Amino acid sequence: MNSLYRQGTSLLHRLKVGPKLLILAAIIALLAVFATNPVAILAALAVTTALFKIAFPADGVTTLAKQFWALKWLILIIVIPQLIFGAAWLPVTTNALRLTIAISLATLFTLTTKHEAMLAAIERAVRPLKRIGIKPETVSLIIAMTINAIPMILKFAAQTREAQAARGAKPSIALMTVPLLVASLKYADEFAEALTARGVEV
Amino acid sequence: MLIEFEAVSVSFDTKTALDNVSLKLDQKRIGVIGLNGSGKSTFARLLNGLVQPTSGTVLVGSVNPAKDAKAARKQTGFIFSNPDVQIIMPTVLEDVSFTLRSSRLSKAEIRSKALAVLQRFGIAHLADQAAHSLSSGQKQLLAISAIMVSEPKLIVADEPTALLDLANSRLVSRVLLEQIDQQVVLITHDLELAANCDVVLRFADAKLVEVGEPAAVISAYLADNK
Repeated sequence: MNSLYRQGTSLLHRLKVGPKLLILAAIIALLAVFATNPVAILAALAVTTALFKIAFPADGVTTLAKQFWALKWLILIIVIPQLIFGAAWLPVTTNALRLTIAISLATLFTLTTKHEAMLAAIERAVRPLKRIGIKPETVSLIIAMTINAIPMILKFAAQTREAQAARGAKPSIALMTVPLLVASLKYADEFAEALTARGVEV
Repeated sequence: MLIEFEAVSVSFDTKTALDNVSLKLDQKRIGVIGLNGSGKSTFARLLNGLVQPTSGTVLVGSVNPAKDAKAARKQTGFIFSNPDVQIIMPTVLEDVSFTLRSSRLSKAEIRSKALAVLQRFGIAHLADQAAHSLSSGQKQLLAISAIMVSEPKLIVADEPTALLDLANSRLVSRVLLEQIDQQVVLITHDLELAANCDVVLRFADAKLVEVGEPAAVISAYLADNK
C-alpha cells in the first residue's frame, strides 16, 4: 500500500489539520443536506473538482477521476440492488454521486495531510481523556500501528492466495482463514518483540 | 564496550537454548555463526534483555540487561532479519522520529536529526514514503536509521541480510561493517560477512564451541558441516 499523502505546497497542504477537517466536514454536511437534486450535485461536483485542482494544480482532475474509479464497486453494490428493487434511477444516482463526492472529499483530506500532523491532531483531540487515564500518545500510537498493519495483512492474504493457487486450490474464505490467522499472529509476536527492542513496553 | 557472560544458561520449558556460556568480548565487529537452533539468536537477545538468563550473569558495559532492560535497550540497538516487523510508524521519517519520541528534543530537532540519519544512509529522498512500500533493502536501511538516530553504543543485528537479495545484502553488510562506528554483534549465516569481522563466535547445540580469528572458526565450522 502506498502512502495516501501526496507532497504539495497548496493552500490545502498548508492549512492546519483542525481547520481543514472542519471545512471539509462542513462541505460534506452541506452536501448531505442540500445536494438532493442534479443541479446541487453538479455544483458539489464543481466545488470538489476545484478543491482537487487547488490541491494538485498539475493533475487535480485526474486525481479526482481516479478516486471516483476506485469507488466503482462500492457504488455498483449500492446502486444495482436499489434499481433491481424498483427504486427510481434519479434519486438512486443522486445518492450514489453524493456518497462518491463525500468519500472523495474525505480522501482529499488524507491526500493533503501528513500522518504526523494527523496523529498530532488526534493526540490533541483525545487529550481531555487523560483525566480518565487514557494516554493520548498511546491512542495515536495504536492508530499509527493499525494503519501500518493493513498492508502487512494484505501482503499475508496475497501470499496465502498465491501459495494455495500454486497447489491448485480455488480461493475460498474457509481456506484463507487459518493461514492468514497464523501469519498475523506470528507477525504480532515478532512486531511485539521489535517494539520492545525499540523501548516500547507492550 | 565490554560484553561479559558468566556461566549464562537459558531454558524455555524443557528446552535448553543456551548452555553455560562464559565469554568476554570487546572487539568492534563480532560475528556469530552456527546452525539454526544453535543458540545464536538467544545470545543476541540476551544483550538487550529481550531474553532473560535462567542462570548466570550478562553485563554489557556496566549494564545488566536482566536487571535494567530500559538502560540496556537505550545503549543497544537491535536489527531483526524481517524488516517488515521493525516498522512501527506509517512513513519513513515518522518511523525514524519515533525512536526519539521520549527524548527532550523539540519536534523540529527530532525532524532534523531523523533527516540527517536518513541522509547518512542514503534514503532521505524516501522520507515521506509509506515505509511498507520500500524494497526489503531500503526497509533494512530504515531499520538501521531508526536505531542509529538514538546513537546507541552497541548494534545487534540478527541475520540482517537473511531475506535480502545479493545487491541489498551487500549494501546492508557494507553499512553495518564499514559505515557504523559503533560496536556491532552480527548474527549471520553469511560466512563471507562473518569473515570480515574482528572475531567470530560459533555456537552448536546451545553451547559456545569456539571463539577466535574468523578464518579459523569458519574453517572448523565448514569442516564440521560437510
